[in-house]
Amino acid sequence: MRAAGVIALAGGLALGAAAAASAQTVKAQKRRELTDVQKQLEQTRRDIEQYKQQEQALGQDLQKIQSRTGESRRKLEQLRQHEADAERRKTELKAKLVSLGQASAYWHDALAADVRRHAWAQASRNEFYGRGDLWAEAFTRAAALEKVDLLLSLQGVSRQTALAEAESRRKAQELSQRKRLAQQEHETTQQEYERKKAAIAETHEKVAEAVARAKELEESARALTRLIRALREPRTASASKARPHWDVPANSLLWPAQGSVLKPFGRQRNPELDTWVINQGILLQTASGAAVAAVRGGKVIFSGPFRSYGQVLILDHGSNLFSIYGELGALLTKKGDQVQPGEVIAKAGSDGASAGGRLYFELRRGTEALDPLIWLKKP
Amino acid sequence: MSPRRSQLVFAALLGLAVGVSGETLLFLQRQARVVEQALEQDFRVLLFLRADADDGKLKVLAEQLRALPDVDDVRPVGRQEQLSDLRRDDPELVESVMLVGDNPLTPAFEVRLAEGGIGRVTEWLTRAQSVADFADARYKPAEVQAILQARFYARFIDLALAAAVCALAALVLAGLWAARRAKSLWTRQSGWPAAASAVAAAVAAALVAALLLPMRGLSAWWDFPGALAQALLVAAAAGAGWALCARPE
Repeated sequence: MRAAGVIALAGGLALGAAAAASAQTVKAQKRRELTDVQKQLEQTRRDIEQYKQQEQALGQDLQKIQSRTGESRRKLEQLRQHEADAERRKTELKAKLVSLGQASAYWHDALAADVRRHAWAQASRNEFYGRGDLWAEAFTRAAALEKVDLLLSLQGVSRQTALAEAESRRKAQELSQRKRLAQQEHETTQQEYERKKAAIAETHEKVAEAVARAKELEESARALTRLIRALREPRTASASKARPHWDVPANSLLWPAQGSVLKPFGRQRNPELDTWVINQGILLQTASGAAVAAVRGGKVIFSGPFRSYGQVLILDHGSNLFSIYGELGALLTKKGDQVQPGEVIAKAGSDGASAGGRLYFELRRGTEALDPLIWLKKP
Repeated sequence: MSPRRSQLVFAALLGLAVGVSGETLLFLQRQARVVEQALEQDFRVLLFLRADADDGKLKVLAEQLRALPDVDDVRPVGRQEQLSDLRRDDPELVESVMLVGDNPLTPAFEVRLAEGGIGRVTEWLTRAQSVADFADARYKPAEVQAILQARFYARFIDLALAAAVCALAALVLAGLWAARRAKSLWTRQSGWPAAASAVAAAVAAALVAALLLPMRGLSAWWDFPGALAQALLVAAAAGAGWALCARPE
């Protein structure tokens, strides 16, 4: 869209000096262009507003994500704490189990000793006389039974501890799993945060870009207004001559450079800016430094840099036909030179992003932009 | 040897045999009594409660046990008393067994059964379980058997001695009856003092030679028949000697 406006202005300026069309026609054309530029400007302002709204929405999303990030971080910390507690408890229970096992073994040995002592006392006692044996037997028996109770209690505690230890192990595993999930969630939230942040930055850039474009369009509009104002001035006699005869058949012009069409002529959707733009020419994808040839014989009427389009070259082919070459790398001709059809007049510039080059090409009948693909030879 | 002398020798030998036999029976009877009494004095049934109880409850339970038939005496024994007795009798046992630290014993009752109840100790224990839920009951079944056997031996010897005394009495009565018929009773020619003296001397010699001297070195645990029983034995022997040797003139 910017290319269209700028090249249109350039073409307008160039043609305003050189074209032989009538002042009224040019004025009407410029008014249309001004209307287009104003429409584009309005569209760009709407875009700016929309981008700002998007930026605001993204900012709100970012705040929500920040809140979620904080929450997930706290949750993660809690889970880490719980996991550490569970691990500590598991270790304690393991130690307790070992301790209980040792105690059980000790009391088991003591019980075995009591049982042996009791059996020996029973075997060696006087069966016919002496009640003192009975007291001793009762004592050893009670002591053995007490140890049995103790052992059973220890075994019960051991079983409970083993169960608690297993539960603690299961809980630690579960907490570990939950921690992993929370970690993943936190990372996802963090990534989303980064994405949103990048989206905000991108939208911010778009806003800045749209603002710059709006400024440029405003400038173009002002230039066109000036031009229209200038066209209101009295014209020379040559300027009021009739429209020259048009003798250029379709598909008769040479291709300016070898390559493919990257952007066609006319109203096109710009996915980056999410809007419609009007292309006054075509953009070709070429090799870097590819030869740029004259599509028809003519005279160089402009050669030099023009705004952000780098080197620009304009040929007057007569019959009110003009060809415009933009984004050139090197100019091989200068203003006033006569060129032959197919003569190399410049080299394509680099696109900056890849090893390839590009060439902006416009075709005009007077100030009217033509679709080059209609007039260029079929490849 | 004249018939008179041979009668006296026969009476003396017979007296010696009767004396040894009688003294043996008396001695065995006495020992059986002593053993029986000693075992009865020692025999106790120990009843252990399942859990600890205060003194009041112990007294109540003791009274309830005492009210049961065939019970002579009941003595409640607390946990600490049991432990103290054991520690006094066998301190090593107490120290080696009491690893846990607590007194493992529960309160108990020491029951002395009446003489007639010892033989029915199992039935008595069944009745005792109705008083309280005792965790353990201890006694020596072999001791019960020993008591019953000693009692049986004593009774049996009593019976044998009674039968022998009755036989001697019948013999004496027969001698007296024969002498009265011959009207030679209390005559100097009857020779009864000599015969009675001979038998009594033989019995006394048997006591000294067969029993007293060899057994003097034995344990003091043994007991000897009483003096009255000894005198009766000598008198019975004298009477028998007279009855056997006296002949109508």
